[in-house]
Amino acid sequence: MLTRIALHSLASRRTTALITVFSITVSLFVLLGISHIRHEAKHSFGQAVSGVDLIVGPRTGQLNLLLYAVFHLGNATNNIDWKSYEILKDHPDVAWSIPLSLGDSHQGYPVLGTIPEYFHLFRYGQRQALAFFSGQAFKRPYDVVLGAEVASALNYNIGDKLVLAHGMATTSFSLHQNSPFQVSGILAPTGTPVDRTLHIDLSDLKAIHQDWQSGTLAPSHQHDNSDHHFNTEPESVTAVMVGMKNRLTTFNLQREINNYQDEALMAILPGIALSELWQMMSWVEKTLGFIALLVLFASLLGLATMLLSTLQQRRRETALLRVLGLRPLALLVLLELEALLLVATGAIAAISLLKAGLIMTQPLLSQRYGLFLSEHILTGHLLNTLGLVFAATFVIALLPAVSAYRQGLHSSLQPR
Amino acid sequence: MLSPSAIAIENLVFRYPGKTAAPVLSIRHWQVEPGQRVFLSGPSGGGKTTLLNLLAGVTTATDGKLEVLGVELAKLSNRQRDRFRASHIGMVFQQFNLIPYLSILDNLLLAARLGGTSSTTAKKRAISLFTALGLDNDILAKRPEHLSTGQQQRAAIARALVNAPAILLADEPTSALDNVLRDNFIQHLLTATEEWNSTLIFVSHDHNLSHCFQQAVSMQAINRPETREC
Repeated sequence: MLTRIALHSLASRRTTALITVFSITVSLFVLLGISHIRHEAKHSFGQAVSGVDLIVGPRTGQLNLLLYAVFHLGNATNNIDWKSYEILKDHPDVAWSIPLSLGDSHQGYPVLGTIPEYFHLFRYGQRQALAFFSGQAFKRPYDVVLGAEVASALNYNIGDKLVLAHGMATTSFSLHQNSPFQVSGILAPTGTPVDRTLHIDLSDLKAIHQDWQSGTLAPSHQHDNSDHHFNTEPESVTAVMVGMKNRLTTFNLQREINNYQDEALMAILPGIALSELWQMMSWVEKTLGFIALLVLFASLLGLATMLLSTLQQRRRETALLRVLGLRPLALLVLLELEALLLVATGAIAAISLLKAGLIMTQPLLSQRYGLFLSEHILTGHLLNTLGLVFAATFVIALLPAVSAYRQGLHSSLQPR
Repeated sequence: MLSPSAIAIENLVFRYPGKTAAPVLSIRHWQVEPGQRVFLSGPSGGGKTTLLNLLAGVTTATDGKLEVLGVELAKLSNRQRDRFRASHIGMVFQQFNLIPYLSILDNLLLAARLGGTSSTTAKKRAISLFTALGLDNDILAKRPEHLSTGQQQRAAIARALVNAPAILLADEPTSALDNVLRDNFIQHLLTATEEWNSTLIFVSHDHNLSHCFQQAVSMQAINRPETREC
């Protein structure tokens, strides 16, 4: 019955109620959005690579190496020599190694040159292996294996042909038009950067670049490329993922690589680099979260102000409700109900907006920033946040609610 | 066994809390028998509203004894008093008798709910009350603002009687009505209270109305704050 009164009471003040709901919606949208993105980003980062003991690349920043080797973001400034890779590969402590070569793209999606073993050696999430949704790993020259998102976003199927672009720009003017690739396999979704990557064989990558000099196609070589496909041992790779025979030797190898004399190399531990990346971002996230909390606090105060200002109008209503036998405590509950109803409405609106926003920006976020944000926002984490929001609402709404209680307590028959 | 008086007052004193000034209200003895219809008149500031507050149990007396339907209100807890009022006392005021954002039916159901009357009973009563009050059932779905003042006041009687209270207190209920509406209102009020066998305390400063009631009492006759102290 009180709920019914509360609903009608709010409906009778719908202009102020709507403005209040709107302000709560905006602040909850920001708060829940930040909280969700933080949670998802952390998850998404942590899932990106697993079971890799070392990532080896040219000497650069630890984060830089991590970003391009794992997330395929940014550009490698340097490569490492193929000879160095071979020494590493044959190192007695190394169980397996995957060379990675980056630099080309297709419609904004990065192209990764690697070896066929990548598909059964690479691990993500909780040590999960990659699985083929359809097709198989590259076997013939100019085969390409697509990540799940690439295939679905660009609508490719097994057997389709596509042309790679030189460099990472979404609209590149220099295409490897002479060497079209054929889709040989499509990977199952992983929720990691693998989904938006095109995988080709290292030797194919070498082949398509054979006629390229300093970033442009040499004019004398505008012919079909297929006859180039021999003797294609790559000269260099961008980075190498390494798995150890015995994990205890990881640090020894890391030191060895870092001190390698013939080339400026660097080895990082992905787990440590990931947490460093995370720490770097966490203060941004904490600041944003704090601002969101302040915004929420302001709108809850606005809500309390709105309810307080109705108390004057409510004096007669309060008197009448008391005459009908309503207890003063019920008046307190009534005001609390109104406050919670407003916040609940705002929360529903904010969640819907957030969900719609995520569905709309998902492709862009994963493509541009490698962020895989699930649109399933109703997680325990979000429910906790909402619980706290309702608790805060309850406390702040005590301000007008207690006033209503006192008004009810001192009410007489007909205040004039 | 004799049924208790509807209202029984002995040496009742009311002062505003914290004020040491002379009492606002001081009644040595006043008694109203069940089913009586009493016209209570008096100048404004004569303590009429204070008396009604006391009778309704919205405030309690500083001193003395006040029994309503044989129950001493001052001895009840706040919550018991609220319940007692909800189920045994109906009230009609000069204006603002209905919650503006609820339909007339919801207003009636709210009063019924608080008075412990089931909604089925309340709906049945509402229809027979509406017939007695000359109101169309159509207005049950309307909100007070869509009713004329006369209709609002009669709907207020229906709301006040929905719990079949033993006592109906009416505080200047006709002040906002013109003469025609006023006579019509009183007619309906008397019919309805008679039908429901309620004791009626009708407070007004308009002496022209007193002839409609079995008993007319002037506030000055019962309230003697100045003589109480000697």
